[in-house]
Amino acid sequence: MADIIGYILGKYNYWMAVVLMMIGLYAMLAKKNLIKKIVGMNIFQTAIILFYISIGFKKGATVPIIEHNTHVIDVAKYANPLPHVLMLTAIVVAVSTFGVALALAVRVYQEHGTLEENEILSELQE
Amino acid sequence: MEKVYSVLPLYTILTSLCSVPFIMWNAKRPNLREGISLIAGILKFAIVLKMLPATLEGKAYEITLVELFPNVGLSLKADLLGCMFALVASFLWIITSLYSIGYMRGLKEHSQTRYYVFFAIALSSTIGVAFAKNLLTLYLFYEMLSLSTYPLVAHHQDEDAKSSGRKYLTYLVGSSIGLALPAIIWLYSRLNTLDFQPQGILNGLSTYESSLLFFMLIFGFAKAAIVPFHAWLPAAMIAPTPVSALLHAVAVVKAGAFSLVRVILEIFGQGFLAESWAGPALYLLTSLTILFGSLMAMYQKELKRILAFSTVSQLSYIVLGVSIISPLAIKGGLLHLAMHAFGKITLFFTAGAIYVAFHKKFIQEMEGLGRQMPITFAAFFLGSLSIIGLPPLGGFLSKWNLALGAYQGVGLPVMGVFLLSSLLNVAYFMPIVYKAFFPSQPAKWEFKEAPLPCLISMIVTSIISLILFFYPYPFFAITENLSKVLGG
Amino acid sequence: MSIHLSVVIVTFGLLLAFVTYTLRWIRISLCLPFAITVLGFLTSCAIVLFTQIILWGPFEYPMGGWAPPIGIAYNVDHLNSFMVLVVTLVALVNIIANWKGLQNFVGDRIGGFCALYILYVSGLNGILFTGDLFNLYVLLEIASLTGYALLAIGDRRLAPFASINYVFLGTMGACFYLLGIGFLYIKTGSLNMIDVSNLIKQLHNSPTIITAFMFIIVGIWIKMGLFPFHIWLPRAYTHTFGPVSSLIAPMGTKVMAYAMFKVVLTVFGINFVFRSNAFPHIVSTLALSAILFGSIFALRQTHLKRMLCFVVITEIGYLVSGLAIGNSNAIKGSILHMLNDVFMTFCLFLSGQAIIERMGVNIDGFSELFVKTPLISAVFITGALSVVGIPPTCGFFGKWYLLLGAVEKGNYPLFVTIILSSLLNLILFFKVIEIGFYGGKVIPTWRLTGAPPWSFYVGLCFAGVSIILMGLFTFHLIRYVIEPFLTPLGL
Repeated sequence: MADIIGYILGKYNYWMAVVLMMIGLYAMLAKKNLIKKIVGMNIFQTAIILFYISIGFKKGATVPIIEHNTHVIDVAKYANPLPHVLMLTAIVVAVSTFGVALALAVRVYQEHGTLEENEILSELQE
Repeated sequence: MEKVYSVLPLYTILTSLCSVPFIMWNAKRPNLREGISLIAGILKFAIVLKMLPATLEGKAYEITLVELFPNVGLSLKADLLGCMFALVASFLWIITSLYSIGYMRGLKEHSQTRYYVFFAIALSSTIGVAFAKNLLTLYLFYEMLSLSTYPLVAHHQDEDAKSSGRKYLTYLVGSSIGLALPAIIWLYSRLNTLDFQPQGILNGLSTYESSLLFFMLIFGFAKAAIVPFHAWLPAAMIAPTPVSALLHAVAVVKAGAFSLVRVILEIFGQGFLAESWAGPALYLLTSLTILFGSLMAMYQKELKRILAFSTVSQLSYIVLGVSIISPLAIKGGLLHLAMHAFGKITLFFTAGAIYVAFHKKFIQEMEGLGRQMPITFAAFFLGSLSIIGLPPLGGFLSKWNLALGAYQGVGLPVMGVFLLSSLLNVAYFMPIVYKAFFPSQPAKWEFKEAPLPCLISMIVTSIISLILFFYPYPFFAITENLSKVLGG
Repeated sequence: MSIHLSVVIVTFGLLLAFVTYTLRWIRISLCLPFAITVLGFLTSCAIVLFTQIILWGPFEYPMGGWAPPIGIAYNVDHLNSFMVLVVTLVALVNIIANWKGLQNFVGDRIGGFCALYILYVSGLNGILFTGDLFNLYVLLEIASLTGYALLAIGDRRLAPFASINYVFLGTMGACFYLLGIGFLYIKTGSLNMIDVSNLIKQLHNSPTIITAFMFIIVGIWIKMGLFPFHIWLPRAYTHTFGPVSSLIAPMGTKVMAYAMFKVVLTVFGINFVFRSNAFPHIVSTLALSAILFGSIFALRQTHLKRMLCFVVITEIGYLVSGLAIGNSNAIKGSILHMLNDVFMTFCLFLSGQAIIERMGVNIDGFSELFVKTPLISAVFITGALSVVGIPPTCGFFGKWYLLLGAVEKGNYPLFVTIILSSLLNLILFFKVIEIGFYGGKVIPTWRLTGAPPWSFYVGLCFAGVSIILMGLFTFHLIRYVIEPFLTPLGL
């Protein structure tokens, strides 16, 4: 029993990612304000970014920079740079998406005068 | 069969397709426009005539335009059967073009350019059906025919045309996509080929599967108007008469019957019909259609609808003829393809002439009309004799062979069906002619006939029906050869 | 020189897009011609590349000389070089055809529009070429973002809101894909497609791999618009600007379909997919529902473009049904249908847009359609016949292979559904034809007078002719484009 609980609690990084994703999803679905939805979308993306970074963790590893006078490289000592690099790209993508979504929200606001989804929808029905 | 690689079949199809831009260009010059139609028709007939001698010797002109699937491509093959059909269709197109000039101008119809354009495309498709080498090409041109004849059927663009047009497309395209296409694909997946071979290409299919596919194809090619897929034919009578004449006496319905002839003789083969229950089932179905058509024709009040149901009945003569295992029956069925075409087109021409001259569609209005339109009703008399199957008209030859072949191949019941149907034909054709010339109220002999082009067309086709009794030789030779090659 | 063509197409596209934008400060009337030149250049590179692939076979191009699995590689083979050719060609024809309309509508913002246009095409090209899973995500996002921006142009009231809804759904799809890649990376440590496929072979039973597969495929399906993830499609494509809808509708979903085929067939392998019975059944059901749903709902629409969007949804159902059936003929049919569908959708949307400009959006108002717009409606009918599946138009041949595959596998529900949807599509387009022929219930409003500019005729003729040519050259397409892709995968 303690085994299983230890096993579940040991994977807390995955649980955090799941929780964040659900928060983001909730915001996207349940909130009526467009800006809140956009922020929810960003939280969703952030959850995935955190997920990747968390899997790149290595206990006791150091920065993956090789110094001049090292001849023998012990790969196990260095942290894997790849997940971090991937997530840099993903952060850029998330920020760009955020930007585009905000630009669209500005346009929507200019057109309808409101950012509440239900008000926009009722205005569109007319 | 000796193969000759030649572009001629392609040219035959292309003559009318290439005339389309010229017809559209000359929309404002009716004489030039109709002249182009006629020239294209004459060219087409000439090319078919050129191919005919070689095909009588057993050769076939082939060309594969493009390979589409492994072993199956867009291929044309002008063999004897195809040439016969193409001969009839292209010759009658010339006559119908002449007739259309009189009819459309007499009624001052609208959109004549569109009419001639789609007429040309429909004829190309018919020749494509005639010269198809495999089921896929046949299907392609068959669909093209259905679609290109729609604007012709719905020419009048009124409410009636709308509902009839809907029925037309539903029955034809619905059955071909819903039944024929699945059957073709299934056949291809089992046999890996779709070419027409004289003894059929079935090979290793179970009887259950073959029978299912057989009936899917029989009903899928609904242009052959086998009950219950016949309802589009009376509905299509809403079209202008030249359309009904050529398309529904010669091109569309004959394409359907022709497709079934190809399917029965060259995909399944008579051996299949002899061995399985599909043969007797087909005999039953076609006999029912024959009798049904003749009976329904007796209850119609409108002349064109009588002719439509008569066509439904006569088409099944062809299908029944080629499915009976007897050389005489095959000969009769194929001969009927030609004889019925000439006879029926005469009848439709007369119906149209009556409409142009007097605007009458119902037979009760036609009492005494014979005294005003003697030529028309004389032609009607000759045409109906051919359809009934009495000498000295060509239709007698095909019916004789059919009845005799039916007796030899199946027995008395089927022969009885043919004879009964002829009797019924008398019952609905003869009263029309009799009342026209000998009405109950006295009428004067006043000459007011249809326009000249219509008259000429009628006279030509009825005289040909007469001549074919005495000199049936092109068709006799053709059908003799074919029944030898294709028969079991 | 020609080894680098694949990279040239993508990177030059990205760079030149920005150059196009900067041109607006020099002289704004130069932007559109320059964009057309750039697209022409990309198309000619694609033609040369495709010929090269046919002559010398596929190759792998490592970026920066770093060999995979460490580096990112572009795997150029017959199918994706042909698709890049198709994409760039259709984009080029589209912008040429809409030359005048663009200048009138967009006005001063033409620089930005052209830049976005070229960026979108480059993003699609990148998705097609890349052999690296994460690179696919990046290029997918490039294409998506520019797509969101492009789709927001159009009807001022409706387009931005529709686009922002697409932003939410699309981002979720891309995030699912990213998550799936994450799981794959955890297990295999690699992101190169070929490398991952080799490593997965020993890991088939791992639940991580199965989860990864689920996330990736659902992410791709959301971006592709498969039922039930299609909700963004009608909204996004209906209200947008003509030239944009005839750019994005043909290509956006089809390139995602290619990504689906690549990931499922190359990375995971068809055996993985069909190991359990559950997956084919699920996919079958989804494909079936997509096909039926699209066909039936299209019947209810009165807005022409919305109707065409539901036709697109049906087509996507066909693409996935090939995967559901899973044998060689069915997948050939799906891929063939994907290629054909680019041209069919392009034809329908291009001519549809012209019809809308002239006769309004309501189908019921299309009286005398054939008299008023003869050439445009003729091209529209060709596209319609292709959707129904009448030979010799291209739509028939894709369906033939799909049906063949269904018969061979014994998957009769899909067989019947495909036939049924052909009939439903016939009814659908017949409705438009009838209204054009006999008159509709709404009084027609003839809005734009005059014939379209000559460049539009170029586009129309290309659209109509390409449908028939693609149909007639089916055999060559299968032999030279599709079979070389499928044979190494064992299909």
